[in-house]
Amino acid sequence: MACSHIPTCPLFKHFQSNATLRSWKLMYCDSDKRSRNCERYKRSDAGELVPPNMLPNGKSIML
Amino acid sequence: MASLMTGYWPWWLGAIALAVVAVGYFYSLGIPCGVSGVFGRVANWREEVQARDTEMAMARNAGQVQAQMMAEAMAALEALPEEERKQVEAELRAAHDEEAAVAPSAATAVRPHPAAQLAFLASIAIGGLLAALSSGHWALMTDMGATYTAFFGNGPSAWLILFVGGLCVGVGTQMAGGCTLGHGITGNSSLQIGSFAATAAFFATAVIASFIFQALL
Amino acid sequence: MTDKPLNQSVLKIAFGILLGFSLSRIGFSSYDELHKMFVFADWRMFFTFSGALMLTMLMFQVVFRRRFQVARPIHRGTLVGGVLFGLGWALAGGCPSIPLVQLGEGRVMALFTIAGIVTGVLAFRLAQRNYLHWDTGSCST
Repeated sequence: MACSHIPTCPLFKHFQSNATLRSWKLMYCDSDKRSRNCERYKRSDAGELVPPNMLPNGKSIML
Repeated sequence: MASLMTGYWPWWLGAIALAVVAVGYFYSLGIPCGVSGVFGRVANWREEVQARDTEMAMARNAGQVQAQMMAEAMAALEALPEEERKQVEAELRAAHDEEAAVAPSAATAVRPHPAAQLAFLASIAIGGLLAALSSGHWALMTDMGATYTAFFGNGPSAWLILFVGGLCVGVGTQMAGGCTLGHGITGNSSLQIGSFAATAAFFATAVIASFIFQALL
Repeated sequence: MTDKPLNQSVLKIAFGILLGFSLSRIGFSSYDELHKMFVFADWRMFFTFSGALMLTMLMFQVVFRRRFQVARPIHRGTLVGGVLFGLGWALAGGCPSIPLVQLGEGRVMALFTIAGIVTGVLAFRLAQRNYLHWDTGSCST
């Protein structure tokens, strides 16, 4: 069972574009167990705001 | 024909109208029609603007964003414990022969400005205005109809009840994640169990409450 | 499906007007009519709602086949939220769009309802972030 937040995750579609980015999907999205490590999932699960530029490992994309 | 213009619509006309809105909206805009979500976003104006600015910056610098994501992906992979890293790398190799992945859609996720959302809410009010005008029913009214006045009066007590009712709607729709349109029509049409449950809950409660009001007030 | 933000806004407003117009002409913005529906004295609006649901379901499931689906899992807030919303419906007339329609019709008291809705929305978010911490089902606000 993949991460339950996939349908509305703004980053997920980026994770499909090439092989390197697909590793995000494998590390955090593909299984229930792995999605619990995703910082975005953890925050939204706790009812908190998730910045659009936050990666699953908690680092922010610099803009 | 005249009664269609001034009287309440027969059930089939109303059904068609609401279905046109629900389906047409989703079809042309790609997202389901829902009012409670919009209220939520307008109420959180500042956060919405911030999130939107971030999303716009991400869309503007798409190339740079992708480069950072790739660099971080490699770093995150390196940071994994040995065994997990090997597992992920193996899975990556296994998927290598998939057909070329699709590039992220250019229609990126930049949310509408809360002002645009507010305009949507205003347009609903305008719809009501046009309906009342065209059917000859527009009037400045300081009551909510005979039934309401009979139950709750017309002055401050009625205002309080309206406010409390609004509170319940505000909290309830955010908690349940949708309203009559979002859950009742769109959600149920997608055969979603969450919507069945929510719809059943709110209809049942409204019915029970209405009977109680009728009996007591 | 259209992409440009301006076209999207125009379309949204068009649908908003149609929605408000329809709700008013159907009678969903009239407390008298709503009450009649809830105590089963008049089935017209109930059939309107059911009819709209059947039509929409037909379009989504048969005609458009899985192209337009939303995900609405059951979660903690579903039932309690539904009950609260139902109570609000019986007290103030319901779906957050209704007080907007009522305002358009000239019923100025709907302002109290709207004030309540906004307060409720803000109060819930506060409670969510600081006390409840319930899963919102999505990582996008």
